This record gives sequence, structure tokens and C-alpha cells, in this order.
Amino acid sequence: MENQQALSEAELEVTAQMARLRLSSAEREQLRAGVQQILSYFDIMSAAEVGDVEPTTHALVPSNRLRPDAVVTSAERWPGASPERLLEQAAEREDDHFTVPNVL
Amino acid sequence: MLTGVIDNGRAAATVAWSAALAGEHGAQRWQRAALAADAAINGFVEVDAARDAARGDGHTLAGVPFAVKDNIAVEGFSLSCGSALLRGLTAPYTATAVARLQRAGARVVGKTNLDEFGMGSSSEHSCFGAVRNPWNPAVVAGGSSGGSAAVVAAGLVPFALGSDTGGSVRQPASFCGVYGLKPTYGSVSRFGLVAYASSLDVIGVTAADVVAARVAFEAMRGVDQLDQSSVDYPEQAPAPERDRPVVGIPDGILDGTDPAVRAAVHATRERLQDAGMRCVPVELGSLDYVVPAYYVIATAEASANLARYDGVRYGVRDPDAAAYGAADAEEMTIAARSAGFGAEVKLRILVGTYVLRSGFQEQYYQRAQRIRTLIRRSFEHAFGEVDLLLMPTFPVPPFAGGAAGLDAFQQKQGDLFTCTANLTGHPALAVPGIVDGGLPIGVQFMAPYFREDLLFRVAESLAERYEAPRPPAYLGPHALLAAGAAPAGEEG
Repeated sequence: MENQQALSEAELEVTAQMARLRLSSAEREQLRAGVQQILSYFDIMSAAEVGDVEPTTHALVPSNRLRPDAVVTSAERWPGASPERLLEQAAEREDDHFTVPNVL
Repeated sequence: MLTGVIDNGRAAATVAWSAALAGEHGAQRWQRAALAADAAINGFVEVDAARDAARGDGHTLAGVPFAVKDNIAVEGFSLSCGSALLRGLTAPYTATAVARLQRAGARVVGKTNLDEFGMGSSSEHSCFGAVRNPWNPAVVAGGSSGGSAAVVAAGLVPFALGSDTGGSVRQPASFCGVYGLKPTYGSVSRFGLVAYASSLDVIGVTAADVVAARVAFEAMRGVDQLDQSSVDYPEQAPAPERDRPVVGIPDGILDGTDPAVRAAVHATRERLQDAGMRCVPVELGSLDYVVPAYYVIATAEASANLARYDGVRYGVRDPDAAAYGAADAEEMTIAARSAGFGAEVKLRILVGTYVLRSGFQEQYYQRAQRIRTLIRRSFEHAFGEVDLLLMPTFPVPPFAGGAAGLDAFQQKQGDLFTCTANLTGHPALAVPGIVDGGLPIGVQFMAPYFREDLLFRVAESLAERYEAPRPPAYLGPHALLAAGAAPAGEEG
């Protein structure tokens, strides 16, 4: 049985960067302990004899479903979801655009 | 007790509710009384009985009020998911499950409190504060659909929608003494449900009366073009092979559970036997890997699903972003997520991101999916021998809030009995069991795929033998009307 090594601060930091999270020093301490506790718990699974059992991705997987090849506008499908309604949710907007800091 | 009565195609237990809200002042009265009662439990995050009043041409649920967990979209209502990141967000469209209930005549009267994004077992992890149990405010309501269970248990609505990813409908239902259905995976469309773990998530219902749960489920179910994972629901249940269902109780399932939880299972078994049903032991194999496999899959899928919250098109941007020097869009996203997500959500995103990292996938995610196959096989084997399984819902009775209760890790371990149904996709129903020490303790039945009819049948039979008590402050439609009546002359 493979033992989970302690989660280093550097490993936590890399993981947080991938998750687009910035952790305060208090959070780092608390979350490192929390993540470590769960990862150690996951190690129980290494004793399971899974062999070449097929993985289950969904409990019941329907076959691919296609809708009729006909135009349905978003206004017909979701009457409430007008562009204006969606733009109203923006933290910042300018006319018909969502505003974000410069990306270039 | 009105359980089991269908009056002209309508659940009798819901008819009084539509009458209570009818008329010029019905909605006002309900709203006044519901807000006053909710002050003790914090189950609602938004209440508006007038907004959805214009519909109601359907028959089976005509005029019946219901509440919706605040991670399920209802056009014009809040969709906060209990997160500071989405606080103030208004849903631009309506979830298919809700729209189908509206077509059956039901009306949304409010949105309910929850653990942030459905992640928790106590409904304490919400930007709106903790939900309190209507039986005892020092005790949690369970989670993550704690608000939906609490407002039903308090008698403010006859049923409420929740979402169940690992037990989030059934466990709070058991903690609050009401029914909680987790349908077969895919039988209710997830369109409009904010995704947590897509292969496990399903919309379910909490209800004070089993017939109300059944009528609501029957209105919601069925394939939906807007959800690829939704499935055709068989119109007719297969003809029963036996007159009375045979109920299996998994060997050793009560080991390590609280004596009061064991008492709830024993009491239920005796009622089943009184009703002429056979209860037999059944071999399920080891459940040791259930919770770790569940949390690998749930957190992995959560980390991917929650990657969409970037603060660009909706959501709260961190007002202190300037302090981080948010000079570019990526900084803005990091600032919004770091300020907006709560501690439990961050924990699960980090775990999920870690197990999906290159080099770890075989060790965690793929292994968990193979274990999921083994668990599914062992339940399918059990359903070859028995019609239903009886299990506890949670290993301990409703626990104290705050530091006096279970810590977050203990709560996760407690998901053992509920999260199996999410891993396998089977339907499951939490049913009131006993009241012990002033707190309700429910039990849970699991059934083969699409056999919700068996769950309802056994629950209706039990309800004839055990009238589940209501909490002391229970209102219900008649008391609500009286409590919400304005002083003479104020209305009209």
C-alpha cells in the first residue's frame, strides 16, 4: 500500500495556481491540513482490487441524442435570456459589452 | 392524516395549500406568516409569493406553492448558490424541472438556503448564514438542501426542490423529519441546476407528505432536449413479480452507527413486517471504498465545473481587487474567486484539482471510477435478490451546529449510506423513522433504476402505520392563513 507523502507548501501552491486561487497565509495552513487529510483518506483505495474493471463515468449513459436539424433561436428556447438580460448580470459593462481589464 | 389520498387527480395534502394562497390576499398572508416563521430557521434566501402567481393552468398541482433550492434557476429569482461570488445574481431562465412543475400549476414562492454550491452536510456553509433545524435551533438542518428540508418541516410549503449529489436531499430530509427523494440519475433534467459534480447530480424533492413528493416527481421527470444526460422515463412500471416487495437489509450496515439510528431502522423493519412485507438480510460486500471513491469523483468534477466562475460575465468581482493589483483579466479572475469562494468550496476545488493533475489520474480518478463499477455491480446483484434496500440515511442523529457538532471531515465520512446511490445512479427515498430526544431520525430505501414507484409504495404503506410527528412550531396551510392575517382593516 502506497503512503501519501505530506503535501508540501510548494505542491499546494502549484495546485492553487492551477485552480486560479490565491490563498492567504492563514488559508494556506488550514487548507494544506484539510487537503492532506482527504488525500491520506483516499489512500484506502489503493487496497481495492480493481484489476482491469471498466471505469464508470456515468451511472446511466444514454446514447448520443440529436435534435432535429432545424433552426431554433435562443430567444425561442430561453425566452428570458435576452442579450440585455444577460448583460444586466455583468459586474461591469459598457454599452453592449462586458468590461474586463486589458488582456493585451 | 391526508397521506395517500388522491382527490380528483390531485394530492389531497396539497389542495389545502392552494386554497391557502388563493384569493386577493392569500399570497400576502402567506408571505407575512412565512417570513415571520423563517426568522427562526433561516431556510429562505428570498421570498416572493406574488411573482409567480400568474400561472396555474395545470391541474395536478394547481395553485400549490413550492420553494426551490438557490442553485436551481427560476427566471427572475435569485441564483446565489449560497456563494458570496454569485450573491445578487438573478436567473435569466427557468430550470426544466421547475418549468414542468409550473406547467402542472404549481407556483414558486421562494428560494432556499444551502451549503455553498451544494457542498456540505449541515447547511452552515452559506453566505446567508446557517440554516437552523425547526425541531431545535441548536441543531443543524442537514445539508446541503437544508433550507428546502427546513421550510417543508416547518410547514411553510408542502414541498421544495433540492439537489442531491451525495445525499444532499435525503440527509436534511431525515434530519428534519420529512420525505426526501433522490430520483434515478437522469430521470429529472439537470438543465438549470448549477453543476457541482455532473455525473452524480440530480434534482430531488423534499416533502411533508409522500403523495406530494410523488406528484411533484411525476410532473418533473422525463427526457429533456436541454440535458444530454436526461433519459426517457418508462411510462409504465413493470408488473410486480410479488404481491408485496421484499426488503433487503445489508449485512453489517448498522455497525458503528448510533443506537438511535439503529432504533429507527429496527422500528421501520417492524412496521414493514406489520404490513406483511418480508425483510431479509442481503450481502453487499465491502463499502470501505465508497466514500473515498465518491469524494475523488465529486471533487474532480467540481474543480472542472467551478472553473467557469471567472468574474467576467456575471458574479461579484472582488471590490478589493485593486489591492491585489488586478491589472489584467487573469488577476481579476483570481481575485474574484479568492474573495468569493468559501473555505469548504476552496478545499474541494483544491482536492479535485490535485487528483486530476498529470501523473495522479490513475492513482485517484481512474481508480475511483473502477471502484464505482464494482459498487454498481454489487448493488445490481443485491437488486437481483430483493426489491428494495433499507439502510440508515446518516450514521448519527441530527448533530449540533458549530464547533460542538461534527467537523467537516467527519461529515464527509457520514455520507457513506447516501452517496452510494449517487455513485450507482439508483433512486432512493428518505422516510421519517422515529423521533428520539426531540429530534427526528429518518431511514432510507434504495430501489432498482426507474423503480421510484416501489419507493413510494413502501413509504405510503409505512405512513399508514406511522404518522410522522411535526415539530412544535409547525404551521401548515391552515395555521399559516391565521398567522398571516393582517389586523382588521389593513388589507383591501
